Amino acid sequence: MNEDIKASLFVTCLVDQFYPQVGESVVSVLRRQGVRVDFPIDQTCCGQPAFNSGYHTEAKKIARQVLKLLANSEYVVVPSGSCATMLRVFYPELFEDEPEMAEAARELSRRVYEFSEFVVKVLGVTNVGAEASGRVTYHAACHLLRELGVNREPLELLENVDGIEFAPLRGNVACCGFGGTFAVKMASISEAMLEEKLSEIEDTGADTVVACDMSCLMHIGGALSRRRASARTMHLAELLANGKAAADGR
Amino acid sequence: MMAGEEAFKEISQQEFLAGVREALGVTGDRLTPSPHSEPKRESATHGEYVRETQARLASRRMELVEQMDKMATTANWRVRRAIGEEEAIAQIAAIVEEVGAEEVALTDHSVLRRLSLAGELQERGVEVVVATTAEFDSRAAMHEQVNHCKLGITGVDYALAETGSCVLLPRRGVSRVVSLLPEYHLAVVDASQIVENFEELMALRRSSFLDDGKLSSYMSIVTGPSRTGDIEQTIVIGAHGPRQVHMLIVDI
Amino acid sequence: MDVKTAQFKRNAEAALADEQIQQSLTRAIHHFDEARDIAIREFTPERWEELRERGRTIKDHTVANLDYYLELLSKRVAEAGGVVHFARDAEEVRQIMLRLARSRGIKSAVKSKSMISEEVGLNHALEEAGVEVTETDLGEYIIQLADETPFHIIAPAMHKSKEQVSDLFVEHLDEPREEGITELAGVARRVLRPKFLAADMGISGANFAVAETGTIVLVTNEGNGSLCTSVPRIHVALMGMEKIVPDIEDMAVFLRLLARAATGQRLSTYTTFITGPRRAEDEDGPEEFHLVIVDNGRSRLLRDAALREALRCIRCGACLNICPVYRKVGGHAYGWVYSGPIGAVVTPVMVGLEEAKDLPFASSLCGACRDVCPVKIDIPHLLLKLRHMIVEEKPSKHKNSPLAERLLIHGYYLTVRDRRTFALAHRAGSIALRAFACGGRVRSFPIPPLSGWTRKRDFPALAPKTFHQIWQERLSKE
Repeated sequence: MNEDIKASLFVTCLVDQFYPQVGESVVSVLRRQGVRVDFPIDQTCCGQPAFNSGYHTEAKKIARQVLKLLANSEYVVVPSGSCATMLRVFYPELFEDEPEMAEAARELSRRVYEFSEFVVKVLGVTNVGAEASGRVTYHAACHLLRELGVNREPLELLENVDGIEFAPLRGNVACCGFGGTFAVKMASISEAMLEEKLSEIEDTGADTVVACDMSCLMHIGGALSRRRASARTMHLAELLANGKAAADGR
Repeated sequence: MMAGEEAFKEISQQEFLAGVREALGVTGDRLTPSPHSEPKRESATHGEYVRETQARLASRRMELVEQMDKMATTANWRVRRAIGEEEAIAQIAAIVEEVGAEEVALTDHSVLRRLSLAGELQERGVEVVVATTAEFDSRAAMHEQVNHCKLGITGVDYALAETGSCVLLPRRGVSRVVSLLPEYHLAVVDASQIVENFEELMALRRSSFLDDGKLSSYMSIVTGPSRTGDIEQTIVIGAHGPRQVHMLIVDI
Repeated sequence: MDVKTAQFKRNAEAALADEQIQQSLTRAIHHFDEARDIAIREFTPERWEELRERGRTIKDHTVANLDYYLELLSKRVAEAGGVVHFARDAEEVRQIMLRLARSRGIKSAVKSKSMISEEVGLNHALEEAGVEVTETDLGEYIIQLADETPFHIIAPAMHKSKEQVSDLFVEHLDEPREEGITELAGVARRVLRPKFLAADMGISGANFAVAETGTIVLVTNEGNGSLCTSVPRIHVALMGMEKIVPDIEDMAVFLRLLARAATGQRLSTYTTFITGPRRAEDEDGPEEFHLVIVDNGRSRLLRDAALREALRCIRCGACLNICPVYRKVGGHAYGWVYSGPIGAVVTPVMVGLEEAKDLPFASSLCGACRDVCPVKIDIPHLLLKLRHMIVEEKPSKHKNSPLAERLLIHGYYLTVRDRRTFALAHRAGSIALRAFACGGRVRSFPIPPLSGWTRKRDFPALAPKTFHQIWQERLSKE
């Protein structure tokens, strides 16, 4: 077990306000692995909406707060590839004109992990003893895949979930069309991209779409819901929190 | 001339480069940049490298012929092989007949000359156009005549086994258009001309342009028949160049 | 070429609604994907990566020393008997070309593909001066007949169906109607052959220029580049000033990268190395060779240390092919010569941020373009940099973004800067959304930006309790 490991949860604004059960699942999975989880209470958002739109002034103010908030954390676990990218990749770029802040940002970036990445790479666990049922497909979120280079880890964790049938997505490296403000700024294009993703999901016959980013899942799920499709969306942590070990642990 | 045009003055090289330096943020005199890759062209070591390359190529001749055959076929050349001059001529004659060419354009390339190809074909009743300006009143007349030929036969100067390509170096006696204008092209490759890849080609060519400081005016690397995918991304063989290309690899 | 970049959103909507364009895109994408798969199968990932890294290094080195290599190239072209011209902008390119055409009595010109000529609107300028200009790349020829601009860097007529091509040929050419693709290509061959033979001038671009030898390198599959540069008595090559590589050996790297990234080939069919005009002893080739080296906005990319890497681009089109946005809206939506992800980067800098301020936002920042780029241009990060420049960079601070957006971002900042206002927002939001929510989801919301979301997607209702609350009430005590 990993009793020596302390991790701060950076839960992300979306999970905080819309999907708190994802945060609960992360806590549950990590605690079952013996990790001592804390939650720096003053957190809100990573600042990506401002950064992504070009508003560095606002993004920097938020980033400064986050850097301060997480300065003493051993590890920072983020249940979102995109927000983890903001902390790990974009903060150092954001402060490239401020050497001191940039150094602090680089220092933080070494401690930031996306949830699945943390479980596999830091904890060295690929089987968390989860159990579920049904046909599951996986959408590789873009920032997780291409900015953080995390591809294998979520799939390994999924492979070891008892009782599910895995159905790979044909275009699983293509974007779902979310892209932050892109989804509303360029709504028509975003919708067209999503359309393609949905038809790929449909082709898998899956009843559950899993990803490591609630933003993509809010996007995909929003369209599934609009179409009254039977498939549902689920964060990987929710799936992993399920099952035998979960029941045992409580 | 229009007034505006007379007023137009081209920017000088000096002025243009000053703009580039300014954009780069370079001030003062610029030093020669350090080479970006390994030094490879000091003549002494280069000469050695050329000899090594040649020796290596000679020792791998058979292997390279096989690779050339395979890769050229993949690149849509119709490849044949011949051993000895007699067989080579017979094969060429067969190709001329197969494509139904009554009039054939030839370059005055040493590989073809060694086979006395012009004479051999004429003896077989084929009309031969040797595409050199000496034979024509004008370059335009030569191009017109070559354009009428159904088949163009050229020698090559090198062949690249990695990609199945022919390297053509037009020069005195060797027109650029014989491999381009006719519907069919036959490239006669001497087995000793095959090198593995572009790097080796450049290593060997470098000696020839190091001495006089120049590349020849034109070098063409041809890899299969002319093609286009511009309508509905569907590949059509035979766009502006030949629609069928033959290759005869001759081991003499 | 006319700049229509300001209408990106409208253009994109039109493309999305155009069935013919959507069909063409779907078809083309299928071919692109197939070709890329072939290219990937041939090389091990390690070898491909090594090649890309070498390409990147060589280009960065060259661009960082661009003045040196331009000077060397210019010297070597002159030594080989060529004439070098420099042009800062589109007007200068046109003037140079017009002067050449007039002074040499040029009546007709055949052209091999050149993106620079698209940038500067060369065809129309020459035609106005009485020169008959004929594009000879089949795709370029088709869009010349249609009087359109390229839809794709390497497949300019990608958006045309064979029926449309057939109609165009009947309308413009004195040829019987053909229906099949092979036959249509045959018509172009038949019609263009006499043009090659009669033209006074051949105009080409340059895929690469080798500084040490003064050589320009042309890559084509059709053979039109070879004909344009072999038959007419004058050859003029137009090149962007960043197209240089230092040594001839570097071509080993770039020919492999270009062919594979562009069309999935090992090597394009015709790779032509041109060093000056024909020598006295040559049988044919042009009597004069001119090289026009063009800036036209490139020094603005050069000036910015971060944006400079966009000058590595070898115009292979791979980023267009993989881009989920390009795959939906196609090339014309971008409104200028360069489309897709690389277009979204270089166009705003080349035509002006004000003119093209939507382009850097026309991306979900998915990063697929960076993965396929043969010279590893970090396109998503350059797009982010441009977004920042558009929104905040002096002197146009905040001028380029709409007031509503600025207010929204500021409101967002005020909300998230403190967890208490953030919690308050949750309560206020819950009440506001409740009015529109139904069964835990919002089906329609009348106010932007959320109204854009709910056109085709439901929006979730806020959770009854935030994670903050759950943590404080329960999880922190477990």
